[in-house]
Amino acid sequence: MLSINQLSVTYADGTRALRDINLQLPTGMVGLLGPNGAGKSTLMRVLSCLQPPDTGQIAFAGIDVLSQPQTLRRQLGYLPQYFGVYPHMSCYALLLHMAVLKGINDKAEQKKQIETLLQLTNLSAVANKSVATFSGGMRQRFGIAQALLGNPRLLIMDEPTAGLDPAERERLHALLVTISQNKLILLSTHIVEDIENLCPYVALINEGTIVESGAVQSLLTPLQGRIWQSPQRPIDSSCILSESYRFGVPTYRLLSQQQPCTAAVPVAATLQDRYFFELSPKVAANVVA
Amino acid sequence: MLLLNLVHNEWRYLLRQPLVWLAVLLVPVTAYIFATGIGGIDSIADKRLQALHMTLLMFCLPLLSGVLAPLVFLRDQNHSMTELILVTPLSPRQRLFTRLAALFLLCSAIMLTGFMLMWFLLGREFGLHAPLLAISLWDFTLLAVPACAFFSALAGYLAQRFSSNVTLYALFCSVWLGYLVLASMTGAPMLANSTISSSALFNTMRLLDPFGNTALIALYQNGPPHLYGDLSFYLNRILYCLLAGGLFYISLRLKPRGKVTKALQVDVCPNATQAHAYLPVTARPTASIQLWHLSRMALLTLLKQRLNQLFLLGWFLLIASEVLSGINYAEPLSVLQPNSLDALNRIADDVLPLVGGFLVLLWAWQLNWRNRDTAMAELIATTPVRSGILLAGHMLALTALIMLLMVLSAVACLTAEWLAHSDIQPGHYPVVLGRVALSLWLLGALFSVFHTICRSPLTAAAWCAGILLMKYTPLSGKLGLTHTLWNIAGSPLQPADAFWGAEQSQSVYWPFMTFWLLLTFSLLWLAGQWSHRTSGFANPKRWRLTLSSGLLLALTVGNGVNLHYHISAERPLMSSDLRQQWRADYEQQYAGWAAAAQPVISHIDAQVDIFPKQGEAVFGLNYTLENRSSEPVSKLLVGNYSATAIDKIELLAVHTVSFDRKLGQYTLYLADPLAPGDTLQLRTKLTFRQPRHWPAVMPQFVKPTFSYLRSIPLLPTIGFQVGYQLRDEQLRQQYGLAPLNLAKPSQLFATPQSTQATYDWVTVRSVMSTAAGQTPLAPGKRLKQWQQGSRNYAEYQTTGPVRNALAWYSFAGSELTRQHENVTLTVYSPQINAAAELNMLAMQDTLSWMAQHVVPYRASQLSLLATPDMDATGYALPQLIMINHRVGFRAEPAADAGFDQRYRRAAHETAHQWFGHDIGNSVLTDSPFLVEPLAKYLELVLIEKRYGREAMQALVEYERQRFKVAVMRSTTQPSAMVDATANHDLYSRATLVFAMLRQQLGDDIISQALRQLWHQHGYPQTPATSMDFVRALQAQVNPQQQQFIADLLLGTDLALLEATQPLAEAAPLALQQAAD
Repeated sequence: MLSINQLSVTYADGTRALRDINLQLPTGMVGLLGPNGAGKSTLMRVLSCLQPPDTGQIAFAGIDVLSQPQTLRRQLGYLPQYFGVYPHMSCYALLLHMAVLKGINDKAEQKKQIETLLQLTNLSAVANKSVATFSGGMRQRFGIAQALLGNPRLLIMDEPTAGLDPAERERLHALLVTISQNKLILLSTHIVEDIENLCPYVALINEGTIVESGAVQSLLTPLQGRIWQSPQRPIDSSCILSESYRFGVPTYRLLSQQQPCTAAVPVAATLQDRYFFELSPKVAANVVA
Repeated sequence: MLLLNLVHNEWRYLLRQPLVWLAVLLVPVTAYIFATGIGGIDSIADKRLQALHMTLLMFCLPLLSGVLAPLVFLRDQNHSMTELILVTPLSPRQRLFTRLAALFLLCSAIMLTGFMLMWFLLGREFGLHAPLLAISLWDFTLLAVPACAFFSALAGYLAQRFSSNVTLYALFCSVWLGYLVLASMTGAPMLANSTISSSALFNTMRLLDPFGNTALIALYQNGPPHLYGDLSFYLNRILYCLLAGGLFYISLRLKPRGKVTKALQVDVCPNATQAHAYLPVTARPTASIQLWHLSRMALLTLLKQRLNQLFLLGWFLLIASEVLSGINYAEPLSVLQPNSLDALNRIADDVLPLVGGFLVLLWAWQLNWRNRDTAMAELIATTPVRSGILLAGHMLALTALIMLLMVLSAVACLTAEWLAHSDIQPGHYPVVLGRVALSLWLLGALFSVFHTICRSPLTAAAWCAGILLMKYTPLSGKLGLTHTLWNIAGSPLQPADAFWGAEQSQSVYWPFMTFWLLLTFSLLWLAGQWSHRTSGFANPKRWRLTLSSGLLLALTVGNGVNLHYHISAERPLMSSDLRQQWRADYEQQYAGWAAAAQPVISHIDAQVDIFPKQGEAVFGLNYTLENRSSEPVSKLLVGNYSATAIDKIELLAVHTVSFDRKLGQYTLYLADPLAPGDTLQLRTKLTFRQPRHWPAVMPQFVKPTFSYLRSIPLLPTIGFQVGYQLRDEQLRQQYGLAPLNLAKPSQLFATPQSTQATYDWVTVRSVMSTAAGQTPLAPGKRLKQWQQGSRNYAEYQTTGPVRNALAWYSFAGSELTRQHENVTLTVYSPQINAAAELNMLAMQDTLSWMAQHVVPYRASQLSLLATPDMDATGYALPQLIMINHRVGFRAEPAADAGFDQRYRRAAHETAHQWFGHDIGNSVLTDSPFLVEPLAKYLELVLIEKRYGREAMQALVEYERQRFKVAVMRSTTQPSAMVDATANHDLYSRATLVFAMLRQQLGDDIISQALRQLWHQHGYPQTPATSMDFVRALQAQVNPQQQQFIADLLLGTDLALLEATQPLAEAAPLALQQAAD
């Protein structure tokens, strides 16, 4: 559905934000995973026609995005990582404003859409309150609601769950899964769990390059049987994929053909393992060797 | 030590801010512009330097503090760093102090740079002396430092009170404008046309002026400047230091008003509607709906802002008070029965465009950067709204705001008119306000274009500031950019007046506006394509030019080139630089002719056909040239200094011609030289065409209602014209001309018979024609008049020679004629009213007094015409007088006027028939002493005779006040009365001088001296000089009185003019002498 070819962006200060990105994304939910500064937001902005690339082509459902940005915008919902709201405007009024800008002209349709989205995002009770007074989570829900206005076929969301409490996060997950039929929802985040929960397809990006992409299961297959978990640090630290803590006790995820230490037990590979695998060239080299 | 470190830390922050560097650059540039004005060799260097310092402070410091205030005090909230800063161990007191100290130091440093630059620039002219440096440092310490401290403290205080950048900008802008208004009402020498409107206000400002300027200016009033202040000045500076401290103290106690929003807490339903309820729809963007919604939303958002509501309320009050305060003002001591045009003229050319321009700037900013300021830019940019629609939405909102502004203006103006019992003529409102609205809209559109194209708000702001600087400040002139198109989004349209409506310049309006509209629409079209969609992201491909925008741009450029062609063709010497260049070229090319014998014009036969509606006047001229020299003349130099070329030139003698196209000069080579005493006929033809891209200006214009064609500098001249020479020595040096080194008249004519000048007088016969319904008027007696076809004809003939400064008129109106002894006096005016009778009376009184005490009027006809409201309020030519209709025919004395300005002016202009056109004006190197000061003398005599001594004393007091303000403003050394050329000397000082002469010597002695002057120097003898009058006056009195005359007329001590006792009580010198 979305095809990206040879996409590159270099900023004025010489930073190469995207380097020859090639990506074919299917319909459904797609996760874009990468560390901070990997180029996720730049890619999102380029796909949203906010920022033109230096080179490359983007096609979405037969539309040449770069030459027909207006056509794409009619099918686009966008939630940036940071956004603000106009002062002195109620939630309903601001959604109405966005609805008009998105081309929803029929008043009944506007009303129906807005009321539905307010319910979906759990904002009905505060529909007439000024958005400027919303808490972080409520504002994020407002952002989601405005992105969903107009039934976009391409939904680009940068860190959509940031600031949401667990219940709201779950609700958003459910909503996204439900509406993802026949559309592409591109979810950018560095919270691996979100993608794991939602996306059957994922693209890993690092230093402006797509290091891996594909169905989540297919990405995990090469690691299956080689992931170990240990409460102790192994002597050979080169097999450490990640170190995390649970109740203050360290836990190591290790990548090895054989049991790396006596305390290590085999576990199923996760997307997070793949993520760290791609970000740890030393470990990857070890495994290859 | 900690504080020092903190201040140093703050200083480091400031030095990294582009805005600071912009200020560091702009203030010295402004200082340079101010300091490079023409000073002249007579300048008082230290006074001029101090005036420059004051100017720089008052113009720059409030704006500088206002621009830097948000950067210093509101940066935490602007960049979401409030929490980070608040949790540092720095106390609020330390934080405020360090920021305030940094701002104070920065402002002081920038001002010191400006002061030093001014010292250096003046030093190049006068020498880099220590006293000038001392003045700079003294001014910096006592003027700049307290002002910087006060404005820094004010910035700190306001930043604690208001958390919005825009509010701070607006408040400082208001402080700046408010001070300029107050300065103009307290006679600040740096502001043109400023005057002391109230002595109470002036005295208050001596104490309350934040810059200390008024207290210093007060010391300038009495001649030699005292630059180091007096008690009130020091009190003022101490007061402002204390105020700065007080504001700092109050600021510390204030709780800052940050953008803290209280998070909304609501109970949410855990079981919200299920996701399947989401019903998708298909987007069908419709431009008109989006446009309507966007513009409505933008408009309402702006109108909901308290700042804008405050501005609109302030706007109403400003317009109403501005109109009401001066709706009936004609001139000092004179009022009008006002009408709507008078009311609208109070605001249409300054308050509305200037303050309106700043409001439009603010609104354009708010509209275009609102998405970015509220961090909604990306949300909006990704919607399917076209960039052009976004921009059009902003423009529609701006248009609505401008319309609202105009409606408010109309209501305010009408309210003021109603309160002032004005003659309300509603028809003028849509025309005048519509024009202002269009200019503001164009400005707003240009601002929006820059905001739409420039990704950085700072860059856009710089462009907008550039537009405002070029439009509203003398910057373009200082940079030598004098083309009328530098008046961005404007035209040279002049205010309409009651005499002829907008006829003076209405033809210029649409050619200029068409260009600006085309340019603006082209740029808007481009901006729609090159927009950053308020997101600010770069789009390197957006600079592509589409066919439509290319065509629009091509059309605009074509229109601009065409306009420029017409502007240049109609007035080739459009700027002072070009005129100076022409004069320099003329002198370099033809100075050799000064020594060559040339014939003089002794008689002119003129056929003048005026076509008012077509804007044309055709001249057929026949000059009788007479060789009055002792040498034969073999070649003639014939030319003029005008955009009107000589169409045809014909000499009734065998000759050859060469033509200098660049300077418009013909050289005629005679086959047979013209022998001494012989005459020759020269025929020329030329057509004056009224420029349509320039407003009508004196001294030549042909308009449907009124036409005026003065011979100088239109008609061909013979020989080298010394009057064309550049007189300013600096300019001469600049153009590579040898210095003239002209001595002052008091030295040049110190001995009798020291001039070789002769009278340039001619006899004239004019046959005139004009459109039916209009009166043709020329100098001389009307011999006959007739109608032929659809035109009116008249023939005029002077009964004797007159000064060769002629004029021809055509106008419609009524006439009032009186026979005064053997002179026919006529007043022409749209209506014959009491004012016309008064003007007639003044003419009669002048003729009577002059005939009785000096010499009678030479001619048999004298006409006075009401003229449109242009340039001078009165002007006299031989046998013809022009008086501005507004002040001479519509006005009447104010309730507190001690004398009637209409009578005074008419008497003054009538007096020029003797002083200016009989004696005076014939010796080019002489001063105008025999012209204006002597006409002022006659004012005193006639007002006393007609209205009594009290009225005369009221006139003296009026001129005394004017003179004080003028001396305050002047930066040149006082010169002797007979050498003076400055207006305040020629009019105000002359009144005081002659009042004292009359008091001490009496009118008999003065008129006796005048009679002697006419006897010795009247036409055709050698023309009189100013010194001839001094000698003639001294010849009538004893040595003590001679010394008194010398002190007044040849001395430079202005303290002599300070009347310590009312004139009526002062004993005349002659009586004192007798008592001794």
